[in-house]
Amino acid sequence: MRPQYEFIDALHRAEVRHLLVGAAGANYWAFDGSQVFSLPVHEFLVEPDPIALRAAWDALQQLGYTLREGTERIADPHAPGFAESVAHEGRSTTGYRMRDRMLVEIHTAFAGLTFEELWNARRTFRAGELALEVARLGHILDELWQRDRSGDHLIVSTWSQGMHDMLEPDPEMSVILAEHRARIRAGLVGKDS
Amino acid sequence: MPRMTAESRQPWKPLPAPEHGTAKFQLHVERFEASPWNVAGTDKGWVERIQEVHASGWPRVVREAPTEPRQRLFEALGEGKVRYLVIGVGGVNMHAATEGQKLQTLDLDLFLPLDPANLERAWEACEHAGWTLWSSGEPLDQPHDLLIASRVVERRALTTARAEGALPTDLTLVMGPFDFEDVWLRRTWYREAYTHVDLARLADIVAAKEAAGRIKDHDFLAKNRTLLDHLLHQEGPPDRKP
Repeated sequence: MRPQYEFIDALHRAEVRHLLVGAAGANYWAFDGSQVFSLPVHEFLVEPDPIALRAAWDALQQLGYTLREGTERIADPHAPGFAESVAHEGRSTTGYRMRDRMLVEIHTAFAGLTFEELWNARRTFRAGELALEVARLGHILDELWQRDRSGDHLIVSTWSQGMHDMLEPDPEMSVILAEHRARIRAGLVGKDS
Repeated sequence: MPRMTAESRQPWKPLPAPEHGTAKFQLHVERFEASPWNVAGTDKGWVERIQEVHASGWPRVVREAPTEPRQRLFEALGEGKVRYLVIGVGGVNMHAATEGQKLQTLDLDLFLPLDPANLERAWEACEHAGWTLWSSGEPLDQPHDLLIASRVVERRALTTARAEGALPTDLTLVMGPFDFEDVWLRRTWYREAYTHVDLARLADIVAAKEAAGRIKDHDFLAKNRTLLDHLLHQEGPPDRKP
């Protein structure tokens, strides 16, 4: 199983409600590879509940990840009240695994929307048997834009161009392609035509 | 049968993509979310398969690695005597001196002359290499002939080649304000796993991005200005001949 799927599977088994967010989450909405960014970080929004958060951390640790908040390692076992404060204050933590350089970010808050709002608007895709709970594309792109970083703006503008190219094609080309199809059906296109 | 119109003889001039926060952007997002490829339950396993994980350290960007389908494509283009130039970010990466200088690209752009016969050969090469062809979001049905190639050239329409396990490859007939022959004369080359690849000069690639006026290109240039200036300085004046 691919590393990112391992963690998603672990979250499902721990019954932690979570959403794929960030650029890696947006990837799942892509039509083709021209909209898929390869990123070293996978971002998750976890229900802002201390029990869910502890379960997510446990899952990461069992998979060999080291937990941090910012640059500080998170004490193991966690300090009393730590999960409660992270969830309450909407802070983010990370898990890093040296052997495959996997970086996972666990968020507990998301630009101006509650978890329930995001959860109710999610789309469930799948990778084989694995369910992928992905935040709405619009929510993800809005949040990336609000980060106000050049890399995130480039991702949003690339998405905008990709959607535009897909949804607003040259209308005359449809006519031209239809004409071509009709000529094929009529046997007018081919080696001997 | 649909009829060709006078308009279809003119090059297509697409409107710019909308900026984030505009009503048009929002509409695009909503339409995209409602698209058939985003129906709940769709298998998205391909998304992970297409990503190449950078092997070295802590990359801020992960570049596209050469893939077997891409290799086959370049071989077929060479065998088909197709005239093309690699442009776009994929072209920038071919100018990079080190792996660390390579930038993430989501597709590969090949610039072709306004020559229907050459375009037809390019399509045949793509299909021979196992890629499928699309234009304007629709499959380009086989077989092809000079007539459909001529129509595509008249509209300056983009053809996209897709193959499993490779990033899409765009066959474009437009490179900003540049004429193919001018860029061709200044071209350089690249060798990808023993295959010769014709490559536009970096200065032309960057100038085309600057002239394109798309937000995505503006953001790309702003984000990577320092690296591009360094590579442009290394490239120097157009005195090398392929």
